[in-house]
Amino acid sequence: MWEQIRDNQVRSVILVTAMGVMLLLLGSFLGQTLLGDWSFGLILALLIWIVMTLVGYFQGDSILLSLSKARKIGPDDMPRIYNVVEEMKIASGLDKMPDIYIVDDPAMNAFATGRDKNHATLAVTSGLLQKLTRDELQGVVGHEMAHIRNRDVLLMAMCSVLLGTIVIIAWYGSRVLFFTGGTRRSSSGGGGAQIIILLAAIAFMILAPIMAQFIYLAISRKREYLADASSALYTRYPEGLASALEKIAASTEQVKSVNSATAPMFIINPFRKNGRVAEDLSSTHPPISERIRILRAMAGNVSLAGYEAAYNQAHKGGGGIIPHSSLVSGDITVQRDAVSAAITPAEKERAREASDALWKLHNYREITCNCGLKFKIPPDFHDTSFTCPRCNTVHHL
Amino acid sequence: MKCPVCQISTTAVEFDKIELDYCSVCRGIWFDSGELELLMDTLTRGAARDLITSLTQKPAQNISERSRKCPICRRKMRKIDIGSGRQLLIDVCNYSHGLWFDGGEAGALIEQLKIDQPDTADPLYQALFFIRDTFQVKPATPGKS
Repeated sequence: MWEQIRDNQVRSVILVTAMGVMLLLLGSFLGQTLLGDWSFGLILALLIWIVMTLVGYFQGDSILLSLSKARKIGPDDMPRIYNVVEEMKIASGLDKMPDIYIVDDPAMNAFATGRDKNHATLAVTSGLLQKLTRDELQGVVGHEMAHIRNRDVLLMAMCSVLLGTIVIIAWYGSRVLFFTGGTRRSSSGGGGAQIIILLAAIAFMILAPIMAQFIYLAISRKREYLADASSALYTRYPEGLASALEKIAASTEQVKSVNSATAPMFIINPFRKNGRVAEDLSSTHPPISERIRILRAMAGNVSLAGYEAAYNQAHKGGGGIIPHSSLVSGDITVQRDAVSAAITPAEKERAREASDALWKLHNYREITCNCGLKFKIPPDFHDTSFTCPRCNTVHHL
Repeated sequence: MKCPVCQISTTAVEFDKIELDYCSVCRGIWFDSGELELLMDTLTRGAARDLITSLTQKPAQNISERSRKCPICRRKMRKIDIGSGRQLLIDVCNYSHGLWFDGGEAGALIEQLKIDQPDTADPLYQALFFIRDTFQVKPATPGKS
C-alpha cells in the first residue's frame, strides 16, 4: 500500500512544481504587460499564492464547507450514513473518524477534504443519501475514505488553491488588460515588440488556466482509479460503487456552489451542463463509463490485484495503476454478497430521512397533526401558532 | 425556502412521505421537482424535470399579475395556463426547479378537476390530486385573502 502512495507523491511533486511555474510565469507576464516590470508581477503572484495557501491549509475545509452550506452531523442525526462511514473507517484502517457533513443539495455527489488523516472531513449531498442504497453509499464512502487514507486530500486541496490562484489572476488580469489596454504608453516606442508582448500575455492568460487544469487532471486521474480500487477492497463489493456511479452519471442535476477549484474533490466531476447527463467529457475525473466497466470486470476478486487485472483489460498495454510490490500481498479477496434489500429503506423513506435530518440541523420544529400531516416549522416562523391547512387545528408553538 | 410571494420562510408539509412547501400567510404551495420525482415514482430518472420542462414550453401568459421568482434559483418564473376551458395560471420555473401554485390557484384547480373528467395518468393531474389529498383544499377560503 505504501509504495503506490509514495509513487503518487513523487509524481505529484513534479506536477505541482509545473503548476507553480505556470503561476509565476503568468504573474511575470502580467507584470510586464501591465506595469512594465517582470519582477513585480512575479512577486505579487507569489504573495497571492502564499496567502491563499496558508488560508487554504488552516481554513480550507471550513471555507469549502461553508461555501457549499454543509452541516456537520453526529451519530444520532443520521445513523445510516454514520454507520456506513464507521464501517469504512474500520475497513480502511484509519485511526480517527472523519467529520461527516451533509450538503443540502438535490444533486448527487460526495467529497473529502482536510489537512491530514486526523483532520479529515467527508461531505455527502442530501441527494446522494436519498437516491443511493446502502451498498452504493458504502462504495462512495469507501472511495472518499481511500482519498483520505491515501493522503490525497491535502494535496488536492493545495492543488485546487494553486489552480484557483491561476484562474483568479488570469481572470482579473484579462479584465484590467482589456479596460486599460496595458499601461505602457505608445510614446515609449517599440510599438511592434509591445504588441507581441501584449498578444503573448493575452494568449498566456487564456492558456494558463487550461494548462493548469490539464496538470491538475494528471494529478487527480490516477488517484481516482486508486480510490476506486481501494473502495472495492474496503467494501468487498465493487458492484456497489459501480451502480452508484451509474446512478450519479444518469442524474441530470448539477451541484450548486462548486467552482473549477473544488471540482476534483467530488466523486464525479460536478461540472456539466445543467440538465444534461454527465458525459465522458469530464476533465478532472476519468470517464465514468470506464470506471464502471473496470469495477464490473473485477470478477469476484476484489483485491487491488483484481482491480489491476480489470484495469489492464480495459487499457491494453497502457501500464498498470498499482505498483507491483503492493500486488503480492493482496492476491485474492472474495466478493461479498449484496446487502439484502430489506435493510435499505425505499427511496421515499430515504428522502424523508435525509430531509428530516437537515430540517433538524436547521432548527426546524416538527409537529405531527392528528389529521396525519407532518409540519416542519421554520425557526423564524412569523407567528406564535400554526393552523393546519387541512383540518384547521391550531398548534401553539 | 422563502415564499416567492411573501418572502417569509415556508413550512414543509409532509403527507404520504412527500413534502410540499407551504406558505401559511398566502397559502401558496411549492411543488419541488425532487418531490414530484418521488411522487411520480418512475424508474426513469429526471421524469419530473422532463414534465416541468415540457410545461415551460407552453406559451407565457402576459397578465398584470406580478411575476414571481423561483425560490430555488431566484430567476423569473413563467406563468402558464393549465386550465381547460377556464384560464388557470400557475408559475413554472424555466430551469425546471418546480411549480408554484398561488393561494387561490390550487383551490380553483381542484374545483375544476371535480367537474372535468381528469386524465389520471397525466403526471400533472397526479400532482394536483396529491395537493388536493394533502390539503383537501376547499374551493373558497372564507375570511382569508
